[in-house]
Amino acid sequence: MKGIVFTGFLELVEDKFGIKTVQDIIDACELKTNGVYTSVGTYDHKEMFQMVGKLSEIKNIPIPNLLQMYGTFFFSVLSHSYPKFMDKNDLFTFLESIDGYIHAEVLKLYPEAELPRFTSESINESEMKLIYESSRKMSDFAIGLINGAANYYKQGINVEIIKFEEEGEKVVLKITHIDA
Amino acid sequence: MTPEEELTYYKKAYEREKSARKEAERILESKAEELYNVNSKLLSLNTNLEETLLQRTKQIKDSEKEFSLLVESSNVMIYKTDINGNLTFINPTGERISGYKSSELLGKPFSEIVRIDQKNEMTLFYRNQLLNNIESTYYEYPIITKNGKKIWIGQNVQLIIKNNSSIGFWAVARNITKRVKNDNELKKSNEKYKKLFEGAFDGVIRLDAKRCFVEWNSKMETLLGYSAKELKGMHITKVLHKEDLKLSKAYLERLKTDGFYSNYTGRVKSKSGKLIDIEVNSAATFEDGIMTGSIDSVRDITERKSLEKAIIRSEEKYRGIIENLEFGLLEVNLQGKIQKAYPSFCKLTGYSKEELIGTNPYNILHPDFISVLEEKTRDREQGISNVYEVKIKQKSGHYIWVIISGAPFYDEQGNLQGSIGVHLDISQQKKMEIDLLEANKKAKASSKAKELFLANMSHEIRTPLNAVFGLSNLLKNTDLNDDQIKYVKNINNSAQSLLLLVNDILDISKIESGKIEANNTKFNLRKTLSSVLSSTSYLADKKQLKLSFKIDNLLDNVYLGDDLKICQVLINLINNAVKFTTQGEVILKLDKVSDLDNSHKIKFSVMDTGKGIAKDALLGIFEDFSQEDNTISKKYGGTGLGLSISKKLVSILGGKLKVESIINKGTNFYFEIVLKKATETLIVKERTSQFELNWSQVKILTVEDNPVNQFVIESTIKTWNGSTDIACNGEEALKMLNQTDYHIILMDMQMPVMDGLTTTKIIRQEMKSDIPIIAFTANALKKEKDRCLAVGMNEYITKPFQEEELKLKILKLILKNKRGNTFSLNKDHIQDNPEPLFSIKKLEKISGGDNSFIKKMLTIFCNDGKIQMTQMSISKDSKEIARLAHKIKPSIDYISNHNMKSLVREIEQNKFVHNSDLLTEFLTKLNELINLAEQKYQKYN
Repeated sequence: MKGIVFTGFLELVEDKFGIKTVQDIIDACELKTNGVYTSVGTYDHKEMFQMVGKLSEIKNIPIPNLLQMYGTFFFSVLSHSYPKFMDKNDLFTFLESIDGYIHAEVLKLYPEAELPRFTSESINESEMKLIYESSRKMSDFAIGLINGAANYYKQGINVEIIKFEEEGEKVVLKITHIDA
Repeated sequence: MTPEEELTYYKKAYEREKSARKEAERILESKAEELYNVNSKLLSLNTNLEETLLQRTKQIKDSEKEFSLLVESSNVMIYKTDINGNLTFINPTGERISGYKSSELLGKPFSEIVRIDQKNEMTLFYRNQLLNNIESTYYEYPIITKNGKKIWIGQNVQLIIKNNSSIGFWAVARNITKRVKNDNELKKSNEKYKKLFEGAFDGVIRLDAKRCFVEWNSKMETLLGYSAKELKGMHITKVLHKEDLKLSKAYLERLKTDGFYSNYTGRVKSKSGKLIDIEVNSAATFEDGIMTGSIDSVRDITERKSLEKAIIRSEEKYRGIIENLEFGLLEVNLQGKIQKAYPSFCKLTGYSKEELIGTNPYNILHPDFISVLEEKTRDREQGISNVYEVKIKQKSGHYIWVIISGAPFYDEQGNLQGSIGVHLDISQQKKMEIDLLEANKKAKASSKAKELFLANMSHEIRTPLNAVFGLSNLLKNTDLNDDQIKYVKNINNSAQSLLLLVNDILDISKIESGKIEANNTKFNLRKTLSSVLSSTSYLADKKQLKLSFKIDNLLDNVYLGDDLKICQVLINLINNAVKFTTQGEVILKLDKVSDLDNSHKIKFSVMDTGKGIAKDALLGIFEDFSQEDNTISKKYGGTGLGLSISKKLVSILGGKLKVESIINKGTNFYFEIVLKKATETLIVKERTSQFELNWSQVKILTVEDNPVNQFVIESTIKTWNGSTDIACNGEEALKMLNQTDYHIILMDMQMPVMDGLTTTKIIRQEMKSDIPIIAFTANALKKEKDRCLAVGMNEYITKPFQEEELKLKILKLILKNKRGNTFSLNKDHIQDNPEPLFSIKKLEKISGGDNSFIKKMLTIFCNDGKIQMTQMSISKDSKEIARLAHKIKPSIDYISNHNMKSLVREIEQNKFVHNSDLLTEFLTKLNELINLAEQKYQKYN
């Protein structure tokens, strides 16, 4: 997993729960890195899970919620760092370009990156399907990201899980425009 | 949280950050290094690339130069077109070949210089290449150069492919005109060859150097009977006749040296083993001076050969015939000179062939016949053939008679070439001819002498003979003693025999000298025969032989012929018969054999019950002087000339005397001759102008109920030599009419059952017959007559009838019916002489002299007449009197006169009612009549 995810997470935790919580999490987990992450680095995703798990424990927030929250937050991180990728007309177009364009560019620079697969399917003008596939099973995170994207594109949407397969390795999401 | 606590956290966080930074820097550096390395590599690569590029470019340039050179200097046309076929480049050779400058062609489609008829095909071809992406093709086509010359081009075309698509064509083309021409010529030549080969009338074969079959036409296959598979590579000797192998080899040598041979004749054997005569012409094929084989034409000459053989045989046959002919053959040309003399002629004349050829035939001709030969020569010029006799001179100088059959002869175009004569030595025959003529002359002379002698002798011999005969007869009647009587009888007999003999001899010599001919006179056959019988009956009677006479009914009475000769023959035959018959009879029989045109063929037979004649004796019986055996004349006498004379006489009459006989049974001499019928209807009697009918031929039907009348009519007709059938009434008559074809009907009017009028009506209307009918009418009233004619009767005759009148009427009707035209006949007019009251004349006439008939008539009349007379005198009833008169009328008609006849009619018609004198007169006369009749009757008894 790319370092940016870790740094972003810790930023969020610090932001939301304070620096102490950060330390608590780091101390509680068995981290090879001892909690030292740089955004340009690459670290074992298991550490991420550990930390998320610990945070959930400590703060008694279910993991999915945490992940969603983080996802939404993380989108803005990404949008700040890589505005080029967000240069799309609307949310749906953007979502469609994740797999084919964004992640492809990422892989060029970071060939070793482990990225989830997003297969998009347009149903109609206001609905689309997005199929999340990843061995890290972080579909909640993906949902959060989507919401973050929706915020970015200032479009109200509703994300629905219509299929949940292989313990979360494949999840089919339906995203519907809400005309607010 | 306390600030110290917070600080701790921040310190820890700061530491983490520092570490993170350091890590980040580390990552960055490594990345920079990586970048630097990659960059360096890229740079060197780039340099390499540039170098390589330069090299490659140079190579390309060099290659292009080479290529250019190649293209420019090539002796083949090279050009390039774009995708549409427009020329983008053409090399100098192309310019040369096409005649166009590059500038003239660039941008234009190359197909423009292609010959028009080929353009489309070519365009299609290349379009196809383009479409199907065929990299390389070869194509041949004609172009028209700038000079208008046609050139054939053969080109390889490549597609130019850039970026995976075709952008144009490269073409490398060659001028192949010569090759194409050659090809065509070769093709034509091949075709010609094939046609000749296949179409040849004869078999054509090609053999290789080893003399094996390489090629052959179908005719050859058929001829030899082998299949193509079998023929291929077969050696010629396999089919040659083994006897011809040597000859064939000799010809092969000739082939090698001369290069050909012709008219080799030999035999081949077909697959089936059949031998075929062939004629071969062969031409050798060479290559570099060595024979590679031959082409042979093989002709089946089997037929020709057999024809030749036949001709030779025929020629030989005719030559043999002509050479060996007994007749001398000589050919003379148009110039009149002998051009060919066959051996037979040479033999005939003694000259040799050389002595004759070129000479003039007149040289050997007897001078008497020069004009004959000249005439015949003229005939030949006209194309006439004929036969003639001349004398020719042999070498020895001796003349011989020859008969010459001369004819012209022509060449194939039909031009006269000369004449040919067939000579036959007829010296022998000529000698015979002359001898015969001499002999004939002598014979004639001798015959003449003989005749004269006979004529003289006849008189000279007969006179004394007659004297002897006559005197001896006279002597016989004088007073003689027994011895003298014996001597006289002998003298008499001898004289008689001699006389007979002399007569016979004279007869025979007359017949032989042809002096006797048959005469043609009218004679009555039956009368002639009667005279024959009467002249022969004496002898027969003396021998107590029955001599009878049978004559066919169908024979006429009168014929045209030589009755004298017939008599002579018959007398001779009958005399013979009588002579040779001791007991029994001799019958003269005449039969009608057949009916001919106006004639009858009559068979005369003389049959006897005599001793008969032996079969072998029959053969010579008609010969002069022959008798059955030499004892005959001793026993029976006779000269033996009789039959011979009879036979000759019969042949003069147109018949042939024949005999058949059975020993001890009898003999029959017979002959058949044709005698012309004396015309049946009209034999004009010079004495009267009356016409006679052959009554025996006329079929008459008399329909009459009264028996007296029947009898009278029947007898009358009989006197005319005719006959009639009788019917008692009309009904009977009709029955008889249905059975017989009558010529005429005599019909009475009043009859029971069916009367005359009714019968006639039926005959005319129902039977549709137009048979002539004569009515016997009771009175001469016009009303009666009209009634008869009305129902269709042809004539009427009143009763009693006049015989002549009836005869004439019948005659008239029959003639009319037969000839369709009437004849004007002279009628005998009825005489009106004062007649006696009683006359037997009529009765006599109709009875034909039959006294019994007359007696009967008179009896009837007398008896009946008395009764009727009595009754008439006492009766008061006029009707009864009339009836009685009617009853007695027929008899009165036959025996009384005209006056009485009309009287009885008047009484019958009741005329006496107002005139009683009439009745008185009648009765008085009747009484007298009866008396006279009675008187006459007494006389007959």
